[in-house]
Amino acid sequence: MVFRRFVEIGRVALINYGPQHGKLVVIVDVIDQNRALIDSPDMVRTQINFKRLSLTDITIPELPRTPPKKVLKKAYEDAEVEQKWANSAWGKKLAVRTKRASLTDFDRFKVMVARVKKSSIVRRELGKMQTSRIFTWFLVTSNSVIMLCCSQQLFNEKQVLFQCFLL
Amino acid sequence: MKLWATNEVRAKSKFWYFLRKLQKVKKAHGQLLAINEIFEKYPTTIKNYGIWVRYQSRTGYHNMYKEYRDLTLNGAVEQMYDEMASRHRVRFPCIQIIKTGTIPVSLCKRVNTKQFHNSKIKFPLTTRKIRPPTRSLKTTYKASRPNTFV
Repeated sequence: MVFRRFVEIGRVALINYGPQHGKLVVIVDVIDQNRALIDSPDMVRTQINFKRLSLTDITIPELPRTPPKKVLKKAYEDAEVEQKWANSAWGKKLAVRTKRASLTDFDRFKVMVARVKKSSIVRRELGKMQTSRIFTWFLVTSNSVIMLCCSQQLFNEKQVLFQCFLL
Repeated sequence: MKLWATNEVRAKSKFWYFLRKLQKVKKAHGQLLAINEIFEKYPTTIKNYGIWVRYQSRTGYHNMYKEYRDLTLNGAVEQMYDEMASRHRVRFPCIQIIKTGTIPVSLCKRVNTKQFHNSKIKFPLTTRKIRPPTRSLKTTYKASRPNTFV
């Protein structure tokens, strides 16, 4: 088991419990084996237990121990922490989650309409296919649907041919 | 006199307790001039606190010197009381704080504090307990076994 994420000065972490849940912070010092001193451009430097932190892959390299706020802000921006977080898979997942949680009823209606529209396009394509299908896999990516189908006849002949439809 | 108490009333009482040990004066004969709460001057910097303690065990009185890393003196004293209770089963009334002080790095004695005197400190968090972000989301049963790796 190789450890890839370390508690170190400059490590960016996510607070996963408590009133500041969901906040990205930087570890600026280690108090003892249970607590770290964390800081962020928009909060007062505080201590937090490691149990409340989820370490990320993002680090601010060459950060001095307990830097002054100005230094931290500059280093935070230079390391492009927010952009790296927004582009990371974890960050994207969290963004989707927060978006979903913040939808109004009208937004949810719009999502439902879009979903129905997408599935109707897919089903229309499915109906257009000539051979009968028994295996159909849908690979849904963020902006397209890949449909992998195998025909009955070919499956019987032990030749599985996949018709791939990119919609 | 610096002492630690949970409220003003207890602080005043403790003051007279300690003063009786130093001078021949009781609360009835004395007058308390001022009582002030002391706040930490730099609560965002980590300091190494040394605490000299006199405590009563089941067999007698002993002295101890303990070191703690904390942001505030109150935090270090709280750590000390917790540690005395857990390690030596000594409760609050049986502990007297003789002296406290911030210790410079070169004079720290305990290996447990000295191991954090490393500006390039780096260690992994070996086991993680994933818990719901609020207690209201807690469930008794889970669908799958937890994974405690990072």
